[in-house]
Amino acid sequence: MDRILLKNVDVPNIHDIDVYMAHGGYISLDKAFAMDPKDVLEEVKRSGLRGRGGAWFPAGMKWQFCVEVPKFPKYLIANADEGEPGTFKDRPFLETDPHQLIEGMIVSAYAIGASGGYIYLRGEYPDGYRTLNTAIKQAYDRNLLGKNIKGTDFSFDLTVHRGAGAYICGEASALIESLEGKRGQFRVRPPYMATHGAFAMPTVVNNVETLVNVSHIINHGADWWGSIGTKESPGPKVFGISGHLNRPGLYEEAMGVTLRELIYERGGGIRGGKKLKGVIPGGVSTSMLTPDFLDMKMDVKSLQDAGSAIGSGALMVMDEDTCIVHIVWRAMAFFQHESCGRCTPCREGTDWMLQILARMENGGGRMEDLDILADVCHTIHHNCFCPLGEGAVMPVLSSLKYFRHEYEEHIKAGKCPKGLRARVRH
Amino acid sequence: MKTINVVINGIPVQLERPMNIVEAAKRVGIHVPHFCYHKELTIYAGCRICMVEVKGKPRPVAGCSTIMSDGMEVFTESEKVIAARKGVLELQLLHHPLDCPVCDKGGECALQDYAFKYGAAQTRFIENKRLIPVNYNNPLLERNMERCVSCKRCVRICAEIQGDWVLSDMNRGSRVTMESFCGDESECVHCGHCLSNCPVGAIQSRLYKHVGRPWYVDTEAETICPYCADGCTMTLQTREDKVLRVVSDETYSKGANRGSLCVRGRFGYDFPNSNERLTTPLVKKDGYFVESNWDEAVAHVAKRLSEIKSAAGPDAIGAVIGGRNTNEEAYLLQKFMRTAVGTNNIDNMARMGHINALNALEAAFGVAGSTNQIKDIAQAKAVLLIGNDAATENPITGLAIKKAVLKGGAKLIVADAGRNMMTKHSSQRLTYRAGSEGELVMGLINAVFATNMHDADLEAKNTSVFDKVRAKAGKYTPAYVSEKTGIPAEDIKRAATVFANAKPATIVFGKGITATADGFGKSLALADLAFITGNVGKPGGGINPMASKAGEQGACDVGALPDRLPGYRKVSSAEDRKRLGGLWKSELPENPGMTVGEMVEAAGAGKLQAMYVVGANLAYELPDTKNTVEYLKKLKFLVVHDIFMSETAQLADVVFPAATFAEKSGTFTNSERRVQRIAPAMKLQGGARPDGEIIAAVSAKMGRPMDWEPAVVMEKISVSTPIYAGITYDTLAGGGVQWPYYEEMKSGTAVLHAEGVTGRADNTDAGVGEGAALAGKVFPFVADITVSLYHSGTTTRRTRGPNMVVGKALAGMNPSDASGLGIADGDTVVVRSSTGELRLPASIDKAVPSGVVHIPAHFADVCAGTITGLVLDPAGKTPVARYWPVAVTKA
Repeated sequence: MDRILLKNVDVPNIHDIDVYMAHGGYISLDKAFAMDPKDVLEEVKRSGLRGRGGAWFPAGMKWQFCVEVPKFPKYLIANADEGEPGTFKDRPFLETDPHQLIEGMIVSAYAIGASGGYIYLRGEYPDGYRTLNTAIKQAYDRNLLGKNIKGTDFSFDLTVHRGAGAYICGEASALIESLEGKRGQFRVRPPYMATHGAFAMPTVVNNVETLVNVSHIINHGADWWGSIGTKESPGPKVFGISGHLNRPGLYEEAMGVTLRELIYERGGGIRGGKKLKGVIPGGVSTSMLTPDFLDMKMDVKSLQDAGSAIGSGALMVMDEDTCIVHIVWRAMAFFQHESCGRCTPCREGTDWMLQILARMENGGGRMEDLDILADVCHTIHHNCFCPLGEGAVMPVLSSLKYFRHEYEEHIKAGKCPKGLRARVRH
Repeated sequence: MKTINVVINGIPVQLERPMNIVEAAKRVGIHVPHFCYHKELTIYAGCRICMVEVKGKPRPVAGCSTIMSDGMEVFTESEKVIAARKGVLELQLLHHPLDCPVCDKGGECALQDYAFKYGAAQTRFIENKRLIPVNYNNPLLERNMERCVSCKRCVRICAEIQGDWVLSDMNRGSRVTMESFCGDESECVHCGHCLSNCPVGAIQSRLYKHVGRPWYVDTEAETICPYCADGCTMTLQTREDKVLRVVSDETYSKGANRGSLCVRGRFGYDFPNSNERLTTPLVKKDGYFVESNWDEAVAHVAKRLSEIKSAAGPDAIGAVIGGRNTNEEAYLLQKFMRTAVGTNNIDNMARMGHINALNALEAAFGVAGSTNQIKDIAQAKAVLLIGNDAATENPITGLAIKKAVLKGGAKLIVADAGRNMMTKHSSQRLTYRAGSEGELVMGLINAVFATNMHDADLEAKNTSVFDKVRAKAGKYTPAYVSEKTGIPAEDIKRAATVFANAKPATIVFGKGITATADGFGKSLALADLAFITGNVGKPGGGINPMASKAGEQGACDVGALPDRLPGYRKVSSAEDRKRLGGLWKSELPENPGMTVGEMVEAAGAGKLQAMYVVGANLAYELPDTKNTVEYLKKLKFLVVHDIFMSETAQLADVVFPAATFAEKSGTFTNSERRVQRIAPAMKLQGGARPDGEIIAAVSAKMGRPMDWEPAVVMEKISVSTPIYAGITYDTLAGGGVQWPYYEEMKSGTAVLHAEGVTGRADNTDAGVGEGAALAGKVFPFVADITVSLYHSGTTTRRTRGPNMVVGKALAGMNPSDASGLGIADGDTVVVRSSTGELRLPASIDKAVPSGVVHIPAHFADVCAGTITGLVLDPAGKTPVARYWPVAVTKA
């Protein structure tokens, strides 16, 4: 399909507002401002746009909740805390083509009635910080941000806030806590973000890619946009494909593209002509799948049916030489490091699993460890406080389901068959 | 709101408001295990031990963060729930050191109990346990993070209730520990909230370390803290007549303090067991104390007093009762003086300041007591805290103010001449020149009138009072007040605006007002300010005077005053004298007696020949120590009751060993008029006896036997003291009563004048005087002589806890003053006044305003009275010694 979101990424200096405008930028503003905010919201709702951060919650519905709360000011926050291993799909909108995000945010804020905006940027994206700030300044200079945008009654301020390196702050309520200067931790709900978000005001937190899509919906209409992709999850999607591929990278496809197309056509097949062992379809917190699923469509429902999730669309591909135990150990090292320490299951469970996996990878595994892993996963999944814990058990559970033999090989051999070792933290 | 019907473990429950599952289950006696949940704290939902099953939900939900909705069906002990708890407990215990045999929490540890109930007997964890060194940064606490369950209750209570933010959860994930940030515990006030709130053995008292186990406790007494006048309910646990520890109410609901305590109450408990306690009556012979026995000593005292009475008349004898004696003892002493001796020379240590507040409130509104209650301060929208450091002098009132600020968003105006630890919670700090308190208050009144922010409806009903106040405040324009106080005029106007526009707004004040010159007039001005802004008679409003010690308010209430009979009836009133005389079967003396300051002066002049001092350390607490000691030495006969050989006891002819609060019954009345019972937790130590018993023995020997059993005395007080009518030990059961008590409603009075004030009962013309600058050329500094959070005198000097934190007196100085004099932190300085000098180390402290040197009043080796003089304020005869001009030099 023709690229929509990534159409201009290769245009030189697209980060400059003049270049961006020369390529049709900020047109959606005029269209949106000519409409009633309610109609803009209706249009987005009609398009069927769903949040691209991983939860796939209908964006229009999220906005509606916020609009209905009669409290002001309202806030719109772009979640640019792209921290999950394997995920890099938002980088073009932060580092290369920032005005597309700003434009999307202005239109969205107009629909919601938000007067304050933040881009909560992952701390490890210093380039994005510079690019976004320059772009925002340019937008202010053109009266695209600030008071009475383009002479209308609508005012909107936008600030970039850098995160301090916590994965959990990618979750909306933890992001808001962090934005407010507190320790980044999940909030007890209710109250929900739509009523008590940032600074206890109604707040919408949307993924960067979600917001980017909004200006295209307004520009070309909900019908056109909704016709792309599948019916229940329409629209274009940027897939970040990584791993043992010939051509890893970002690919924009319509929702519903098959796994096979992504790996063998866009990604150019497995590196060195090797066989595929498995994939992690949507970032490290989604269940891994086997080559049996190659003809599965990449959309929300198909992946759900397969027992996994599309997540943020970060596809990681593993060839036949991959040690699954090593991969799971590495994933657990991430979750253990990123566990905030608030709830017992996640705090202690991820740490325990990490130690078991490391011991197994280094040759000290026991058969009963597999039961312990399953038990701990169960305890975390049923009792943890926030989605981080639920995500942390996915690599373990899915690998135990599809690749249990690899664990058993490790235990029987008393070493990693591929000769790998896990680094042990002291 | 409509009621909610839910089912918990098959039991139908009706809830009148939405609440979480833990609280709802409590209604039907079902305990849902929890670590991190506490009803007074924000929901944390971290421990995950309170998981319960809700019908229709695939996964267990947290009982603390799930609010019950209509029709919800919950199972708290189903198979699924038990499996979940087992799983969570296994994780809780992974790295736990399992050192229960040496952990002081053993026997009352939630983790222990739950592990016993749900946990697996064998862990499956074969990796190495986390090792974290025990943290000894805090002098009173040790923190063992290996035992921590990361419930964060310590962190949250420190922030949300104590408002000090000392602790935080450091690091993340499995490395989380509860620590002070970068190890800096300088903000810690050692209140021990974190200790009492820790569900496991992670935070422990260093005083209680390996002292006992919960099942060792043989006596447990719910009693009242004897230190300040907040009147905190606490529980003393003893074993074999030794105090093991003080515990507070974990549910945070009981008493005026609702479970909170400060460092003095929680850690200052071991003085009853001090080996310095007096154990036998001592009689001085040829300048040396000789051990005597009770019969002999009592007979000797009775004989000598009778001799002096017949030789020089009853008015040659005076008596003083201290601030830590019970109401019953104060009542007995004044009755003894008025009947057995026949004089009105009876006073109590409220004379050091609080009496001015009481007199002023009586003059203004007709009742000599705080108009409101402490916990109501939390409802105020603005608080004027003036001349009182609530965070150190009366920390539980401080907590109520902090609650108003932290939870209610109230504006706090802190006005003080010296250091005030409430400043960090304030929205405005007014630092006035010592002595100009009155001008500031008048300035506020002036500003309220000038911008018409006073209560106009009230003015219509009380035109004459308002006119009078308006006229009085007329000359105190912002410019004039600014010149006198040193506070910018704009700040005065702003403070007046904030205070007058907040409904309700309250005033809290203390010795910074009452123990200064014209303390009566200044207190009256504050009462006027509360009145004209329409705050009197409103919950969360009113005016709250802070007494210094537990027994001060009560001693005044029951008539231990030279000009007042019990219930503040005037000695000059023949009718009241007759009524009481009838009850006591005695002719009562009609001339008002001497106050404590006057007695000491009269002793010096030879007019007073004998004194009977109960629990007051005059030679230390009164200003001008040198002369006071001289004068007391001139007495022909001095009797002292005390628990220790105090500076005053050393001068006595007879010393009786008294019982501490831990060994006797009685009542204290706190600053908010709440009469509360203390209960003995141990037998009398050594040969000590309760003060009441001693007084009764002497009285009997002088021909007037009296009942001294506290319960009986209280019955008599309720008859003879109108404001205590109906108060008996039965009515006081369960949290005490704020007088006046109404039999028909079975309740005390939380808010006085709720039916509406009709203006000032006694329209006195007292003014606030002229706040002449204290500091001059020779003595350029003002010594702010005040209490420390950790000490309160004779008793705390002999307790381990407070001395472990603050063991010696330090002169607090502003950095700019210190550097100007070349003084560095820790240098010895000489603080010199017209009467004497003190040598003590300096402590450089930004919180002390420039031009002020902060002198603690409670150390044996550094007696603040050395540098002050005995000057009695004409109105209240209060020794004026809060601020004193001094010079400071490097030693």
